[in-house]
Amino acid sequence: MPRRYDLERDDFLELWQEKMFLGQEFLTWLWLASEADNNFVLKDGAELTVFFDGSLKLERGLGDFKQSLTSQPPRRPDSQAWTEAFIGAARNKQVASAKLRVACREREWSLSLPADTLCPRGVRIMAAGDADKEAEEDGALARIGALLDRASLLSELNDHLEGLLTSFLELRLSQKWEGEELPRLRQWVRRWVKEGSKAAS
Amino acid sequence: MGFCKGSATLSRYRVMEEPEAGLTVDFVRERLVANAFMDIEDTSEESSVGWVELMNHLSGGFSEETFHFGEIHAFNLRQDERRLSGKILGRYVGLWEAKFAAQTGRKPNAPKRREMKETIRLDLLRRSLLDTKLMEVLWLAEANEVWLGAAGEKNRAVFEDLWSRTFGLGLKLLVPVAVGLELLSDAKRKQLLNLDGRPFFEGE
Repeated sequence: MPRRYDLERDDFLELWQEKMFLGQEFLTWLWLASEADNNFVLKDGAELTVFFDGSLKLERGLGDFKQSLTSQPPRRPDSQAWTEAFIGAARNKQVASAKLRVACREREWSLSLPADTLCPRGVRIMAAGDADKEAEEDGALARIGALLDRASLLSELNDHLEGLLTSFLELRLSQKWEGEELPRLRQWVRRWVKEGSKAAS
Repeated sequence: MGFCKGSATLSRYRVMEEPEAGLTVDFVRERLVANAFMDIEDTSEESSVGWVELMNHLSGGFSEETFHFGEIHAFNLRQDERRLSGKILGRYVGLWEAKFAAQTGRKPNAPKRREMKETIRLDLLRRSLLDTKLMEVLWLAEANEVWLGAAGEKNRAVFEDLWSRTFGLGLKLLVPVAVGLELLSDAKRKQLLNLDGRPFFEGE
């Protein structure tokens, strides 16, 4: 049954448009926070590691005034590849879509996330390789088994993404956001850009 | 590819209503059969959308063991389309006009031209190949969620329309604000509804 809210379709679409910034702010926070400290502990106790390891698209503005840049991840720890993206973030560009990995204990998922819906695309489940092979070899019954296994692993990923989003929203709606988290991330980006620039010169 | 193997893409929905008599296997089966995919291979229909079984894209029979797996109902949306470009249609209409003029010594009048254009269009459609698209759907009854194995506004619109005609149950896409409204406390929900976006480095 509907959980905690109910809106007519048009009201829902209007609200979605109005709050479209949430997905961009969430992905920007997740990217910067994962670069700064890498690990997240969710309310349910799950410990997640998040890596942004594919192309990152950042945007600022709307319509004709939209500016965007696509940046590739660093291939080496001392690489300057993220510099452009960090400079973009410091100029108020926000993440519009990203490729990332989410790991929890022995499980790992790689996926793309667009900021508008946060609906996962191209999800690869690292733990499901054997199930795929079994499904190809053993016909319908094994395929159903693989489907149920994969549905359970995708549910787990959804729970983690919801957990991360809820952590972000609770932080974003608290005084800690302006008082601690934003200054921390700003300082971290400034330092990275400065050190990156030095290394580059 | 998708929920059974390979990489998966999913659009997540919350089901906002429950069937009057509750969600039963019979309810799902009857609705799926009533809205099963209709083959348009030997017709000149431009498109057809309906449900087919998850493991057999040619069947819309839906015996229980083909779609009901534990707490999950799984099936495929199948969409067949024929596309006919205006350029090709125009060329064939031009050829017919030239032939008509050669036979009668005059150009066809407007009603005749409209009639023949439609005849030629249907003939070309019948001869053109069908493009088949499949989108997997998982209905997770216990979680009250539906996953569409596709992304993009167009795909979602086709699915939402067929879902609504089939089951008559409202769906909400689980976008960030929807997740927030579901999971946050009452006080935070009010704050969320009043929240405005603010770039991280604004005012720096």
